[in-house]
Amino acid sequence: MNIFRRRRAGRRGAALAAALLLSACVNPAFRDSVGEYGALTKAAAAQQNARTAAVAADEEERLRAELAANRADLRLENCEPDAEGVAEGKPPRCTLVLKGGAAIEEAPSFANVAALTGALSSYADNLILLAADPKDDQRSFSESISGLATSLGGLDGAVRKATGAAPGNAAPKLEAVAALVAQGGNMYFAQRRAAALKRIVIAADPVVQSAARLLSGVDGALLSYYRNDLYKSVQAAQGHATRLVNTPEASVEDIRAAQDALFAKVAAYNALGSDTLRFQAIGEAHAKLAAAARRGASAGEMKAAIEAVLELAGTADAAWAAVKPKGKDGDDHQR
Amino acid sequence: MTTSVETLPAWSAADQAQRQAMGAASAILRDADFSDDPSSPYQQAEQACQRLAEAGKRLAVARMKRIDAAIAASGQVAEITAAANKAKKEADLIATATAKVEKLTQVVTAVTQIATKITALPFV
Repeated sequence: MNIFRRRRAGRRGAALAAALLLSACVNPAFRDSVGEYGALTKAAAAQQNARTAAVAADEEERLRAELAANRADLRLENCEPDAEGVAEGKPPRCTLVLKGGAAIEEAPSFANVAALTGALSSYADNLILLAADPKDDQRSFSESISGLATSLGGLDGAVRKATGAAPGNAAPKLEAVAALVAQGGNMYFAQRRAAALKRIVIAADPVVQSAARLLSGVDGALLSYYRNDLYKSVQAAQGHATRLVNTPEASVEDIRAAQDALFAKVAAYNALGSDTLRFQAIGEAHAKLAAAARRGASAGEMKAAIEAVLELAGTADAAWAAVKPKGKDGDDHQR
Repeated sequence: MTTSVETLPAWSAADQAQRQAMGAASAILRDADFSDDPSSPYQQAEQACQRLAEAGKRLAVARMKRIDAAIAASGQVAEITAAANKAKKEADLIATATAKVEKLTQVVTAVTQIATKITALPFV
């Protein structure tokens, strides 16, 4: 092998080493795990928002029913058409109060909980975007580079023709260079996505942990709310079955029907109880992803992160899966 | 950063009392003989369970209201939104990088076409 061949081989070796080094930095498992995490978090946030809104609606209904049942005498406050501020475009909020001016209880909107889950969902959305398969970048980049080589070849030909220079063989060389650049670019994009993901997951972890704790508290309160709600109908079903059992005139068929309904209620109640705290799992999975990112996504850390994401997927699947929409009779508050 | 939700002593006491009372009422309801008499232990326990379950719902709502207020005071929504924007910016930057090469290709193609036309002129 002469010196030139050795140099060429050395350059190829260096390029290959650089390529391998770049590809070693790109761990698709990390990117995929973050993408999956984002999708699961988004789904959990949507579910919690729906349930929180349902509780707010229940509360509004309860408060309205209470007002009517108590024959509350509602009066208007700050409702004058030309009240102070109207001319400035800032009319006061017209409200209802009890006769004498005492405030009535307002139904909660849980707007801040919704805003936090919304922000977390948006974070998850953009993690998904960033964790996207870099194939689209690669395809677009490769096509551009290839087009660039062809254009440069054409330009070279035109210049040679204009200057009268001898025809060269620039085009094949340019295409070879373009292929190499495209290959490097592909790895660069994959590496860049992974690096950005790691940086963002690490930086966002403290606030995600804090948010997950708060939303886990909401999860707990929601579970308590629905368990108490459902308990009332379970207990009513039990009461009905007991009454029939203690009624000599009741037929076995009637008792059987009442007991079947009771078994179904108890099963639904237990299904509700099996819903674990998803936001706790979301916090844990994010912490493991951040740990994997900090340590360069080592095999052990990645395994832990993937397991955490899978566990999260398990809780999301189990979550409220067995529950049905509210029944017509209004006693089936399973969501 | 950590945002904690302060648990009011009154809420904790009420929560504990509700649990204990529910436990006691459930035990009576499990063992008592059935009776239609409203003053019977069975009917009394049944009513108590219903009322305590309603109280449990009120306590859960109160807890959610506390968390809602804590979130409002924490500024976390803005922090997570900033993290979300950062992720989007990174994704956009990568997309822009490919767009730049595409733009360059267009420029080079245009220059090539002009050069080819110029060389075809008779005075060249």
